[in-house]
Amino acid sequence: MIEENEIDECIARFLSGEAKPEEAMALEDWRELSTANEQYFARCCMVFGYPHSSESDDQPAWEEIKKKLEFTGRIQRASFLKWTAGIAASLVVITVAAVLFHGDKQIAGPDYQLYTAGATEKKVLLDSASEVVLFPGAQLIVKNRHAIHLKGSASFSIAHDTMRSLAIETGNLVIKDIGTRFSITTSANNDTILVSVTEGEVSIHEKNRTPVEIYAGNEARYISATRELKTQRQNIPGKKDTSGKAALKQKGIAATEDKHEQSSFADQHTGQTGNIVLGCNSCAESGQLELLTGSQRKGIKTDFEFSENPAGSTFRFRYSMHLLRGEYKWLYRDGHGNNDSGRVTIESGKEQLIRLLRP
Amino acid sequence: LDNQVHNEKSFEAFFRKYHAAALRYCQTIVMDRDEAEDIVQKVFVSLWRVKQSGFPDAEGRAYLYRSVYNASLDFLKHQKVKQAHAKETMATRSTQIVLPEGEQRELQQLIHRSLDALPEPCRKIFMLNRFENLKYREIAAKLSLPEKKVENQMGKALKILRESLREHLPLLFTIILLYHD
Repeated sequence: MIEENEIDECIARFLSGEAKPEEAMALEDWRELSTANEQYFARCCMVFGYPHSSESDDQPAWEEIKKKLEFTGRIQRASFLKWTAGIAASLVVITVAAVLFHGDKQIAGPDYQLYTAGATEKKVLLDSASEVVLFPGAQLIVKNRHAIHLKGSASFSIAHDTMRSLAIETGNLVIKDIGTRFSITTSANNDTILVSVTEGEVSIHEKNRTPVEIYAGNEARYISATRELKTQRQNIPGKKDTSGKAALKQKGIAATEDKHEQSSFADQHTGQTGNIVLGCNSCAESGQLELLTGSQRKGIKTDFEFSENPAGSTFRFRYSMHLLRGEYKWLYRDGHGNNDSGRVTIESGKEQLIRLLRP
Repeated sequence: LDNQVHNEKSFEAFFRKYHAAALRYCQTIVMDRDEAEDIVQKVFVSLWRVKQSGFPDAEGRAYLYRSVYNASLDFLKHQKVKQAHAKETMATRSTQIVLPEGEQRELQQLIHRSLDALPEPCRKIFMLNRFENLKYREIAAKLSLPEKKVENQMGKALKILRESLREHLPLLFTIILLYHD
């Protein structure tokens, strides 16, 4: 029912080299919206014969540009210490830690700070709105006010800032976050790492593997020995994200229904499909509903007809993988010049009701 | 000097954030990885020279994409002139994935099998675009179709091929994961 063709047309234009700069930017924004979008895009790249890798290595290109620009020494030293994935990273960490450690608890290098919690918890302020609480024995390395490497256990409370997405390495895992609360617990022998999210969402990946997104109320357990990453739902009542629902209720024109509250985490995580229900008490006709994501000029459109019951019609359509979790602006139009709009939060595996307000 | 260091750092952050995307964009237009790397590098260098004093992110991004776009079209124009001059068949610009032998073959066979199953004129349009490197405009002229139709059919081709790839996902994910390394 949904015109998947629309996003396919955008991607086809892009991969054919037909995209104008604005279209290319909009598509990048769409791609970065979710892991599912990344994978969708990756498959499209395969069709067009492009290799696709979401994590390319910019380091060689940067080295060349730096040479051309004759940057000052300090920045070159910073890059020299740049963290890279895998074993190289652990080696660097050990080296830096050894240099910085030197007996004291907290020593500032030119670009790195190392914080260590002794027998008690230690609070580290990254900036005025973000803090990390290190549990006893934990070590945290901070670079330019970004926490980048953790050994041990800690809880994070990070303010939302699009410019400062955070990537924390711990053991074999890389945990990425944009504005959220979560904790990382590492067992004493470093065998198990538990990441539990209380607010917002984080993306976790084992080095060189596909990322997994963990939403509020969920946790992921990683077992180093078997390299298993398991996700599970915590049973915390009242912890589900209802911000979208509240916003819609406030406007008085729409409400959301959670029909599949008990859906398993697996559904939520892959959750590429779900339903949107359009409801209207007085209309018995057709129209068009458009969902737009943040910076995308083109949204996802669908035509619909209220046919089930003229007196209190509903229309149900399935959304697919490019309509992933997140907040969308919706626009409604019909043939009589009636318009309505609002915001709806799409959550995977759940049914959303958009109720139209008609004159 | 502090100011200089600050500018350099914010430039590095800008580079890290957008380099991969700029390269991807450039590559779709010039269809050559090495040339794209060159072009994008030059754009970043000139961007630094023009905007050394400050880097508003959104503005810088729009400027970057616009510059990559213009530089890529310039490159293609020059290449066409060169080509006409030399009049020799240029080595086909390679847009193929370099994969381990077996997987490469398997993927290609899969795409070719799926290609044959495309309806017309979808198949023809896709072939002209992918294998003869024709622009949408050129395909539209050649087949006397509106450009919008070409765009629409390309989207349709992508959809059908993508779905047939999806059925072979386990294999493809192995390949994609290899690329993560």
